[in-house]
Amino acid sequence: MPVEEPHRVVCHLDDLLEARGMTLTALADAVGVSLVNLSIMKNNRAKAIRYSTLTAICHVLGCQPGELLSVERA
Amino acid sequence: MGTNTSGRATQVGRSLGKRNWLAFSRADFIATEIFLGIAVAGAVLFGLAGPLLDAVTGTPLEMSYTTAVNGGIELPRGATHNGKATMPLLLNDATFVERLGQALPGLMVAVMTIAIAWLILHLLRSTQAQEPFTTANVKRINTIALAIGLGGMLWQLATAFADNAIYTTGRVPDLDYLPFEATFSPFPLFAMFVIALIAEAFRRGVILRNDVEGLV
Repeated sequence: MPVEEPHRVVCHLDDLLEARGMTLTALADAVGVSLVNLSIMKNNRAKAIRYSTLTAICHVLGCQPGELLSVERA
Repeated sequence: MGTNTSGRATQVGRSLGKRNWLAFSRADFIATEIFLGIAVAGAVLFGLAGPLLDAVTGTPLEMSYTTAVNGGIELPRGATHNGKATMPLLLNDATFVERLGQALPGLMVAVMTIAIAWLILHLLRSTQAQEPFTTANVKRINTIALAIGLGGMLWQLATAFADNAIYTTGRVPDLDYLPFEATFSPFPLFAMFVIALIAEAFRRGVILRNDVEGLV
């Protein structure tokens, strides 16, 4: 698949937050990323994620990157 | 633990505001806009209104020409005049075509100045809006480069042809003047390449911006 094609990465932030009874605003405060950016990520509108952001989110939610992100089958 | 992206950006902004005296401030934007306004006013005044007013009032057409008189004039204490002499020339009964020929290069510069000022104004506005790296700005900078490079060379050619058209009418005294006199400066071409390089930097900025768009 050429990199120019749209990505099929799906973010499961909603499910992880629900399972932990946490709001997006609380996560934004804990992680130090703006609510707007987290919202972009949650709604699958993000095109890339910094390793540092991924590390911080996984640290706060106590999860692995694979639980947060998955790739849909074509 | 966290990645405070917005905090980091603010920190960079603060350090730029405090330490970088060359950072473009709001006052600089205003000053540039004022300079652009003055440039446009000057272009209209000297490139368009001036020649038109001279033609209407019948003011003698003012220009200069270079004689090929080269040295030979003795001065006190062993010195001699050397080099070609540039003589002022006033045409009291300049025809409409002669006036038009002399006004055209200036008019060309006036149109170019207005167009370039307009493009720079758009560049300023987009930079103020924190959106300098756009395809439109790349096109604008490339247009400025072409206008300065090709327009500058064309202006020099037009000036040379307009001047020589008058020299060859028999008005200029036969002081062994040159058959075709022209002075060409390579500066417009050099400026064109430098500005085109800035356009290329902006083009790469657009690519980088597209790459980080949607980055969280």
